[in-house]
Amino acid sequence: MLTIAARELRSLFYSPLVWVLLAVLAGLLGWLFLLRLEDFMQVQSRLLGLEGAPGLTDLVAAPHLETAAVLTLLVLPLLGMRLLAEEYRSGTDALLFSAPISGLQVILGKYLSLLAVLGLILLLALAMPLGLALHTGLDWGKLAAGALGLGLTLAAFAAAALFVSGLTAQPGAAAAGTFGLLLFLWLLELSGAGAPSGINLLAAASPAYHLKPLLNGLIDTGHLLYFLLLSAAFLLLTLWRFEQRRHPRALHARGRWGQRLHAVLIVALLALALGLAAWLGAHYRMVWDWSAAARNSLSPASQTVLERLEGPLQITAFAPETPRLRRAIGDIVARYQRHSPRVELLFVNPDTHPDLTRRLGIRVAGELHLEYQGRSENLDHIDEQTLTNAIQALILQQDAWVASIVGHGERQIDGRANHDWGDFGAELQRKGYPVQPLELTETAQVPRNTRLLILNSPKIPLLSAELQQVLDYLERGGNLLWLQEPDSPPGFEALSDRLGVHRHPGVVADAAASGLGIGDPAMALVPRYPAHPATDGFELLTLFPHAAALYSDLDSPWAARPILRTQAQSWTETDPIEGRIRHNPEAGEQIGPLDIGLALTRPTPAGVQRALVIGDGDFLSNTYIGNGGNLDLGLNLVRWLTGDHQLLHIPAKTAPDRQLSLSPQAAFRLGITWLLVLPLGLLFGGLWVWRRRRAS
Amino acid sequence: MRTKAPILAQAQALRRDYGDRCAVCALNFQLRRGEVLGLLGPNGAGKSTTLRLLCGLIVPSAGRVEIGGHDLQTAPLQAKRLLGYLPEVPPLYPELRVEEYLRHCGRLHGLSRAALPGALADTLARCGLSDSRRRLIGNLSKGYRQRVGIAQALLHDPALLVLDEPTSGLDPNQMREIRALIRELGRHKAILLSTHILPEVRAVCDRVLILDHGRQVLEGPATADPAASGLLIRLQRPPAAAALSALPGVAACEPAGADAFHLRLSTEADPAALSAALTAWGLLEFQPRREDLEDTFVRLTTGEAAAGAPPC
Repeated sequence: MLTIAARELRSLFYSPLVWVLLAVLAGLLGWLFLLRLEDFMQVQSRLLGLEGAPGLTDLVAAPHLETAAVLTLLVLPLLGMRLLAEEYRSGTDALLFSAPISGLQVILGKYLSLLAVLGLILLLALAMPLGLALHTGLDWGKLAAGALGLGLTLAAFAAAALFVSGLTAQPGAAAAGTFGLLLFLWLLELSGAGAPSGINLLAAASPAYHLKPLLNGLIDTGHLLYFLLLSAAFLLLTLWRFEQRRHPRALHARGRWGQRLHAVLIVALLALALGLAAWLGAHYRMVWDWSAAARNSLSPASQTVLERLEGPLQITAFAPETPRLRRAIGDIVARYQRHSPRVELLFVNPDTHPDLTRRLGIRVAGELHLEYQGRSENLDHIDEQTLTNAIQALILQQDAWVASIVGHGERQIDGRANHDWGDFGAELQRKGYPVQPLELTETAQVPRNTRLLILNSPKIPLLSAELQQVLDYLERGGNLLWLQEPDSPPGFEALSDRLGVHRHPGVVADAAASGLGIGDPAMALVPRYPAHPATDGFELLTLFPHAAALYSDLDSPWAARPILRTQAQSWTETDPIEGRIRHNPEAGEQIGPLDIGLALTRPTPAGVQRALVIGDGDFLSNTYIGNGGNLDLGLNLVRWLTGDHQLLHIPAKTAPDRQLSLSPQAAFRLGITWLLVLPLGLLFGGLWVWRRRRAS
Repeated sequence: MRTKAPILAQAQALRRDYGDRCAVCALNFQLRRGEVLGLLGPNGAGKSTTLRLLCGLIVPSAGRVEIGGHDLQTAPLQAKRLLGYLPEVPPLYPELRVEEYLRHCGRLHGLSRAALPGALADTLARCGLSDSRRRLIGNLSKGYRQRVGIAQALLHDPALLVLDEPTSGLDPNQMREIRALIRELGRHKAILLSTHILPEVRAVCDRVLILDHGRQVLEGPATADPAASGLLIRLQRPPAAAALSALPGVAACEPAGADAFHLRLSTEADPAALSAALTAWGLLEFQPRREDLEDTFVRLTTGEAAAGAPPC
């Protein structure tokens, strides 16, 4: 076996071909590497300020190794074509067949020789990033994983090349065939881009598909198994074909069919074994993340969240058929899929499904729609922090009942009248909040599984027993949304005192409203929101017709923060809103900015208790819900009220090699080495060997 | 004494088909140590196929080959260890030096690193390649390449040598050298060689096996065919051929000119009685005529060809 490998290498390196190929390869690799390096140098100052930024290994070394794989794909046919085809053509196979060696030894010897040359190419490709190790701290783990990946890819290529070389006695045909086969396998990966599902069998047959995770520093037994199986399969086929050559072709048609059947059977068995192994690999796979700071892996916080999934989590990505965008999404979701089989990913092209896109409220390309047990959430940008928090929110919503008290002339959460909240209730249902009207007289207490209780502008006071139920609910730590009106009846003092929130008399009038062409001066506008978790990132204008202004006691056990605040030109008008109105300080009218919404929090043993008092219930009524950002604000407020969970903070992971300090002299030296010294050295080496031998 | 030497190679009912054509049909022979067997036949008779079958390059459609008692199918490695093979085209790598190439062949045939230099020097000297050991095979002339091919087959000192047209492409001097080498080797080894050069068979072979259309048409000593011996006679008054063939001891009679006849004799013929009988027609010439290999060859191969393709 070694004898054969040694002979192959001798023959190879005594002829100028391999030297020229290596020189060309080194020159091309060096050139492309330097181009990438230059790009990196240009963006590196920006990378330094970026959280979670990729580094030199991610931006230069990993793509460089992939380039090396593609370039090798181009030269490998010329290296591999000789292996068997040349022996058949020149008749030197007689030496192999008549010698006391087995076919397996011949095939493995030839394979080894090709591996040795490819090892040289691997070293050549690795030498370039390694040359930078003096100037920056490389991500060694990731580079090692990438090197392993490139090595395995080349090994699979070599086996395929050997197989094709054994099919024919024409080295040229073998080279063309090898090139075609390798290119086909490589490009199969592209077939995955347009596929609707996350898993695409065709793409998964491509080495490129399995190389990418390795280049990212992810060691996955499934991918390793693929490469080993592909290599082994091609080697077995080569061996079978090699032995088969010596056998006579069957004489009769029946015999020929028998032989064909035999061949088909062998291929089928091989495919079966491959499939079985692939299945085993998928079901008993182990994954290690070799990249620095385990950048490909989920943080423990995300893993904990995933463990709480009880059913399928369907993630629909509305991404156009751009492989880059889809791959970026797929990469992140794949981290979740590795930890939980319940996470499913589906790509939808928003251009071809406009109705679905509109119905689910998708606004930008690349937006994700998460669906879990009938509840859903949209994400317009994707990273681990947002995705994990969204999943957590979906899980926590499952027992969050939203109960709205009825029986006292309240706005009905399922009502169709103008002043009712039916539309908002339906929207809450869609978002996965089970909504229910609550008749307090029918229950001894507010049900335990109520996550949010809504007291929505009652027109008559609650019975004292009913009010007591509400107070008990608050005492138990329940969250409350209390909507008041300027003309709300008295009788709720016990509740106001408990919360420490009171109402100014009068209706909020806003001079800014007429400036916007709104005829009703009693329309309070809220254009800006204070920094508060409930309105974080919310920027739309909201309108509050006939609102009451609120104020809070300073000595309340609740921490009150204004969340909805009118502008300076507003005041509380105590006279009827008719004709010209103006601020009368002497009548006790308050001047803006006025608080019309107060967010209250109180620490409890179980977490944080939340209450929200708003001096207006109209803004989410069927009439006004479509105005400005009212609906979105309402959803945000409910999300905050029901979310007793802490927002998970997942630190962004940053590459260790974002900075490369390369002096001009050092850069020049590197450039000279990769572009001139190495290729020319190889070329002259080949020339020298060739001339010296030609003379003898 | 020769018959007591061990059988080194034997073919039993050997057959190989190429598509619908039978290249070698039902071939049987044995080869003992110290014997040189010549495989003779016109082009396309199946000589090379036979040799390739014997060396395991191709697998027979039927029948079996044994080398040194090892079946080539079931114990190929043991069998091939005894084998040295020179194919029709020497299996050379032109980019290697003679020495490098032979060293590779030696390692391939399992020669140890220690045994290699001795065997190499010995073989190079034997094949007259000592001065060319550093030369590139690609730069060698045809004759030298053939020598390298033979050297390759000899290097590991195999018990059985299979040579496919070993002297093809050589000039007369080189041919003589190679034949001398084969004769010398034949004293200790079993050699199977194929050729279509008749004098070569006479010069080096002990036995000959003639193939035609894949079938074995003769196996016997290389010198002559005793059963086919006869007389050439000339008579003053030639009678009808039938009268001559009716004579006791005459198996057949063919006219060979106006007054000349070839008589083929049966084994119990008495030449003295026959000459006496022939004087009646005025015997002018009476000479024994031993049918040589060429005649046999021509008779057997053209006869079979005239009879059409053999039924296989």
